[in-house]
Amino acid sequence: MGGISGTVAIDAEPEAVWEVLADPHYVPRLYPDMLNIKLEPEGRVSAGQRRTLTGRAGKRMIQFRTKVSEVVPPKRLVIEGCPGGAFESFTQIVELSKSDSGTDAKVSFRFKVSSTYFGIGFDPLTLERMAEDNQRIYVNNLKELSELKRV
Amino acid sequence: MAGTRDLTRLDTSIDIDSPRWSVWAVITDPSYFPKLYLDAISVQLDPPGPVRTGQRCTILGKVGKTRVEVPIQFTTVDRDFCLAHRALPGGLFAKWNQTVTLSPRGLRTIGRVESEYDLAPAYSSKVADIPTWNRVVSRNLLGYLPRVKEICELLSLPR
Repeated sequence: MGGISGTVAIDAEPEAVWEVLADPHYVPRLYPDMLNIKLEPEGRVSAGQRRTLTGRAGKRMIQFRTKVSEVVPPKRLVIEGCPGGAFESFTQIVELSKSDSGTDAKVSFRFKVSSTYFGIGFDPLTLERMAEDNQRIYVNNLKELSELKRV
Repeated sequence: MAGTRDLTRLDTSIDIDSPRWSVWAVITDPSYFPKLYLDAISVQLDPPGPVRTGQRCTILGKVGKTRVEVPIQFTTVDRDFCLAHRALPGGLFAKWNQTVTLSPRGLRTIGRVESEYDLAPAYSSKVADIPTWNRVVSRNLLGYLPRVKEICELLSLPR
């Protein structure tokens, strides 16, 4: 089981951070190895929305599916994995709270790479590390995109 | 503003180890756009759905710490061969015409991109460092084909 958790201070109001979380089209931009996202139903985040994500692991194209399980704007977002993809289990929780400087975003990921999906020839520890790297960068990108200024 | 009103033209091509239909599928899937342009963040299509002639698309991007919008309209969608768009008023560009053409070479594809652009005066007048913005834009446009190639050449998992 892999994962990361931590809190990042964002120089933007919770509503601005939520805008980034609520628009699923930001997802490929948030994870460096995510290539695209397909939604069912289309549109902004909603409880029950299913997502098929295509990404890369090295030179291989991979897929995994998730489902939005909890949406409390602009405070809490929970996404969980669905069977059949690169992760045997996957849980992402983002909690936003207002702070003096803007927003504290508490982000946690818990996952298990699916050895069935990848098969032999792939090192589970390497895959786990790649996923954790993506999740760390996700947190940095969430901060960066939320803090963008308009001209 | 001397120097900011000149149209910048770029013409690049690349050899992609992937069949033309596969490359076409990537360049016409808007959900890939944030990966094809280095500083694109997300896209919104009007109307939603597969890319087609006349369709409008707003690309949300960033230049440094600034958020920018680039509304475009697809002017040519010629399946497996040519995808062209032009910038619409109200965004980063006063003019941005881009044409992507795909030519088969056996099972490989030669992709070519011709772009010409000029930053919109509304942006130019508010941005202090125009050369930096031009560099960022050029870097995004020049990086388009290598990114298409990278995605198209990804392999499926062995089964």
